[in-house]
Amino acid sequence: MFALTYPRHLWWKELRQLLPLFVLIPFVGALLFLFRLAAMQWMAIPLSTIQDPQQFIWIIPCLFAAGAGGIQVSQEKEHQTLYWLASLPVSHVVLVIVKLVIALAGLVLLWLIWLPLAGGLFRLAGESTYTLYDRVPIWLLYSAYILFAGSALAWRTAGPLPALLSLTAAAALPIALQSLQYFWLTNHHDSSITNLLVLLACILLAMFFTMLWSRRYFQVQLPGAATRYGPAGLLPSAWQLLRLDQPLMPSGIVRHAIELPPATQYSALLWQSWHQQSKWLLTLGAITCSAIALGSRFLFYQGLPHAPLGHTGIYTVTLLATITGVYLALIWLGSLAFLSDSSGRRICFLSDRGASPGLTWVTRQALPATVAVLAICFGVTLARIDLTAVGSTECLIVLLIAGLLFGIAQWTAQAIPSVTLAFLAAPLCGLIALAYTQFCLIALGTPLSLMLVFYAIPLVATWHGMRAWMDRLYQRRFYLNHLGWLVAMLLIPVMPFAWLSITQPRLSTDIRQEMLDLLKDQPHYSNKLPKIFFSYKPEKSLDTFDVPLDESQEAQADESEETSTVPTQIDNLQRASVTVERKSLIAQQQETMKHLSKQLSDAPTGIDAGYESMIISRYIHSICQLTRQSWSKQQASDESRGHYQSAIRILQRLASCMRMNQRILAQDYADVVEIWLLTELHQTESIKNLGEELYVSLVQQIGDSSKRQKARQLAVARSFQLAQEDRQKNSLGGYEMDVFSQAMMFGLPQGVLYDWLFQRQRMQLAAGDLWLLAKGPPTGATTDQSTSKPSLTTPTEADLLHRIAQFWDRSPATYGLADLMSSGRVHDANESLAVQLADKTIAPALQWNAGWERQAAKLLRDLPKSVKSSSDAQRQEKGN
Amino acid sequence: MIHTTNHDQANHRLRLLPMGLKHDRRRTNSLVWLVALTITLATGLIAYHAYRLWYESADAEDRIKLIAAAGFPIDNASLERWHRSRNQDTNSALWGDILDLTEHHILYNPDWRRLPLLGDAELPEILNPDQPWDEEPYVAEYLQYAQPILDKLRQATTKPQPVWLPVEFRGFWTSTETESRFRSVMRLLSLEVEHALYHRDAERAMHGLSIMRATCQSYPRPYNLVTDMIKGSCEASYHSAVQRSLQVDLWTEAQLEELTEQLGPAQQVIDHWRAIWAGDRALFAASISAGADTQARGPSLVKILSTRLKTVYMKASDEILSAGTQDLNQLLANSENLERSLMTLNRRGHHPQSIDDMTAEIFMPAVVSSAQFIARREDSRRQTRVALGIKRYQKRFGQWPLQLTELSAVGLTSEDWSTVRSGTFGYSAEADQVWLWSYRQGYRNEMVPEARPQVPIDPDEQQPSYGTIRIR
Repeated sequence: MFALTYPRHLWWKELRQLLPLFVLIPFVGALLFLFRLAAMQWMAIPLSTIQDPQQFIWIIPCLFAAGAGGIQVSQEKEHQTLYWLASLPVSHVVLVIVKLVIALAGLVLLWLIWLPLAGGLFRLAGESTYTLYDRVPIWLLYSAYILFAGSALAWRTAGPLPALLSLTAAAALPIALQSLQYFWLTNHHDSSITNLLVLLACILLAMFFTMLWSRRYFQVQLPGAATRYGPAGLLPSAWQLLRLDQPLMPSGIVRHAIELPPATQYSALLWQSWHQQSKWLLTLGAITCSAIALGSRFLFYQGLPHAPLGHTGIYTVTLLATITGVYLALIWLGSLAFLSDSSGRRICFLSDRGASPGLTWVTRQALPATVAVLAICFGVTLARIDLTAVGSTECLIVLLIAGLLFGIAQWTAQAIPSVTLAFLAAPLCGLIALAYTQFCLIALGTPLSLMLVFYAIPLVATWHGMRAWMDRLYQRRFYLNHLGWLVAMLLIPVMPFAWLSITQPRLSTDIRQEMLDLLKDQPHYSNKLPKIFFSYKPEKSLDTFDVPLDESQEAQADESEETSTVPTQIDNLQRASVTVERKSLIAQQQETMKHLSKQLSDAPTGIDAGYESMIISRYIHSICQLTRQSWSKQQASDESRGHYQSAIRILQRLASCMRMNQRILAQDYADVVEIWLLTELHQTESIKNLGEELYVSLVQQIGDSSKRQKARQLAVARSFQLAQEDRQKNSLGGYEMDVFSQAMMFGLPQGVLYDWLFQRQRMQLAAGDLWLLAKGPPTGATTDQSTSKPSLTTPTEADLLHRIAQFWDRSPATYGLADLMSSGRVHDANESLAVQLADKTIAPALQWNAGWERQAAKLLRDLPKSVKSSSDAQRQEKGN
Repeated sequence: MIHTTNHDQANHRLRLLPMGLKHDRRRTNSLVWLVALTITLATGLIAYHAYRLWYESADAEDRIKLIAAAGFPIDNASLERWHRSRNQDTNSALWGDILDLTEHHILYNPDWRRLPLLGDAELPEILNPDQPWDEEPYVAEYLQYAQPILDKLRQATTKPQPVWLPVEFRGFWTSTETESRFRSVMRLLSLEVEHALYHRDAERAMHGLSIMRATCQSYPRPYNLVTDMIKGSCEASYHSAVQRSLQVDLWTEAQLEELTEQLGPAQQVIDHWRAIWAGDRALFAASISAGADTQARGPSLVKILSTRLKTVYMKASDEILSAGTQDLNQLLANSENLERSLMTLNRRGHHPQSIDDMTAEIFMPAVVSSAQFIARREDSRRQTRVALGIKRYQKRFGQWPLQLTELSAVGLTSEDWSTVRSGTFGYSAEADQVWLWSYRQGYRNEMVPEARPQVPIDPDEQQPSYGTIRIR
């Protein structure tokens, strides 16, 4: 009966014992996982580019496996409950097996939960899980090995701290064996079966030692076989180092000690702290120092292409191992500040004797911090012996990182009562702190002064919690205090960002309403408008075709070289017959324009005014210019004039179609085309060259300021509406606004997050500025009707333009806001340079309300007079 | 109030030690000193870096003030003023028109593929009017159509001077589109010269070459490496056209002398070198300041990084500027030494990757490549000069020179027939033609081969060019 009952209770007890670990480790791990996932997404780095995506998988179960032994055995040793268990009428073997089975079941359960969860998170991030589960069998066995090794060492060592520290070394055993077989036994042949066999062998070995050392532990009562915390092992001298509860001073030192009271309480406590943990401090300091020296050498020498190792796997593994070594050593140096006193409730000794909390805090921190600083400096000095690449800047960076890790680790050690949990949580918390620091510095742009406060909070928190910790008063108040400090630590770096967020200007509701009201009465608008393109059939493709003309065809071609088109037959290598036409340049242009004209007439609601449409416009504009300029040498023929008029008509239609497009970019393109047309209208004898009808329609089109203004307003309102609907797109009215493109390296004054989060609000404001500019009349249009000089921009307009230039990252000079520089804003269409620059520097609202609009309006006003004088001149010419 | 004696306090201190732990006062003092020294060490290190940061920041600012005082540009606005002051704006509008028309009509012409030089069509290998040139009618028509551009070019190049053309300076993101358009102009002019040569119209060809040269002279003074390279490619087009014209026996001795005169003397390297690096430094400073100047909330990581970058770059640019010298060989040696010292080799000869060095490595421009580019341009000028000299010799003496040293008879010196660093140009004479070649282009430390390199039979075969010139 008893034999059956006790095990059932034992199952339950073991389960409850493991529950905190089962919950805490995956929770902290998942936080870290999400943090990293967010960072990767943030930096637009696909997870698939990470060399080892499995790291997301194995780290959490392995951490659980590492802690299980410490919780189940070492903690029970510390609390002396194992003696009570041993006194129960249950076989010792059953006790050990129950612990192992529960731990194993927990591990399996964790794997079952964690694998699909990690996959889900990957898929959530839009990543493939293709290689994620590649090495799961290996990691499964490895975590089982960690579990058994941790258990064996927990039975063998005196407490959780030595058990976990020694497990760190034991964890490297399978990796070392696998490397051995890779390099020496199998001649660089990576066999997964051999790796699995190595792991299985290690598991069996660990199981054997678990059973052996647990059996020996329960033989403690046999005379002469054991110390209070466990039996002597196979090699007592080797294990001596790990027993913190053994007499701390070798007899030799005691003999030479001066039995006088210490000079101060500080020195007494420092002395006590040194003797309590000197071995661990020195070991971890040595690891830090040597890992920095060796790691630097690997990083700076061996990673080079011509170095012996180059970028091989062994280089990566060694480098990662040294980085991990430095990281863990620094973390555990921080943990030692409080963990060695937590272990076995040693701190009660000082607490009972009335040691001051402040003094105790200082003496706990002083030695690990000293060792950490000295180890880093010494490691850097060693690296510098033959490596000038490592200097004081690198030393300072490592020191600052070490400071943060130290602070977090000592805080974890004080805030978490369980030595095992604190020991395991410290590296994870350190990673989270590092990630958060990076986030604050880069994403939030936190000033360094606040980051110093951020650094100091972990130390202040432990100083504040010292009394409660010394008295082991783990009550609600203790945790609330720490929680308060944690919140402060998290919030302080965010404060400037939060302030900016609060004071962030927002688009006025009036302007928003005005824009939305304008769209209410509008018919449905589709932003998918037809594109225009060159219809071009190459006369021949020189790359693939040969053009053997027969004699008759050559004769025909000679005859009609100048004007006519001659069909010719060409024959390629496959004898496929292709009909081509040899056209004159003018004929080719006419055909192109004819086709463009058809495309434009088929687009009654406008065209998709993209960059391609601007290229076409420039080409047509060049035809206009070249044709017109050819008349300076020879009289304009009717045919040439017709050619010119055709080109102008296409430009006119292009401008009109671009205006119909409800995008801001299209409006700006239309402005440039209209400026070109205005320039053509300003040419001498423009009425004669264009023909009266075309001249009048052109002047009416580009002189109609109110129509243009309405088109712009509609474009701004529509662009605003579309930007609101499609939150994914980072553009407004065809203009892209990518904060990461130019700002990534130099322009992060307020951090990336600010730009990213408030991009939309800033975009709304930019739309508001454009709306105000679009609403305003052309400069001087109402007051100055006869000026020949370009008017200056009004202060309100200048202010708006300045804000627009700043938002779109354009030089204020482009908008004519700096006196010394040339402006792309056309105040006078006869000023060639400004017109040329307008085409090159297309920017949002660059030409809105500029002087050229006033000139166009003036042409419209003077239209009857101009037409009349032109008619008179023509009549006079005919009369003569 | 509880009064405690010294003895009580001492006992209390002793009670703090666990049982069995005896106190060694000497060792305790050592521990206290160790802790104190370590704190001093860490504080000292941080203080040193804070001081260094402050010092470097002040130093960078001082350097910037000195640069500005010396009349060099240091940001977008001063670069704009400097650029304007170094160029003439008399013909700006005219040149703007030419560049726009050429670019818009050539680049955006849907039928551009039919043209050689401007498009994909091949030039005939040897310019012989008796041999057919399929594209010739189209080229003739095109050139006729482009007459307004050519007329404007004639007008703009009557008194060639570096022309000012507006540039929107935006640090590293400054567009060099305007300068690039000069390449289209040079291609159009090359086509004009090629067509004239095909028809053996020496006067028209000479006129075209003159305009090409004048266009190179009208190119705005380069303000950075990229614009300098564009200018280099324009000059290369001109040299290439002159060299190709020697394939046909077209020029009189007077015309050959005129062409030699057109080539002009060697470039003033010092001023040129300093100008391009000064402009490059200004673009860098403008880019760095764009982010750092808006910091209003105290120092942050970005400000520290940008200060560090600015300091490293300013120091390096001072050295680069002072490396300039008229002697091209010396310039190459200086730039090589400089690049080596900037990428300081450590004692084992590996490239270091310290944080400071990485900033230098990432942002340090290709100093050696820039110097080599200048040297190659000079080599091309000398080779063209020698080629013209050979033809002049043949015109004057009725035979080809047996060796290049004989060219002293037409006024050339040994410097003319030697490259800057790769030895004397290669030369071989046949009955009706001679060959002049240089070193393999695109290779470092390449020497001129003694024997004439074989011209690839298959034109599609991508082989490195030796710049071989055939003179007939």
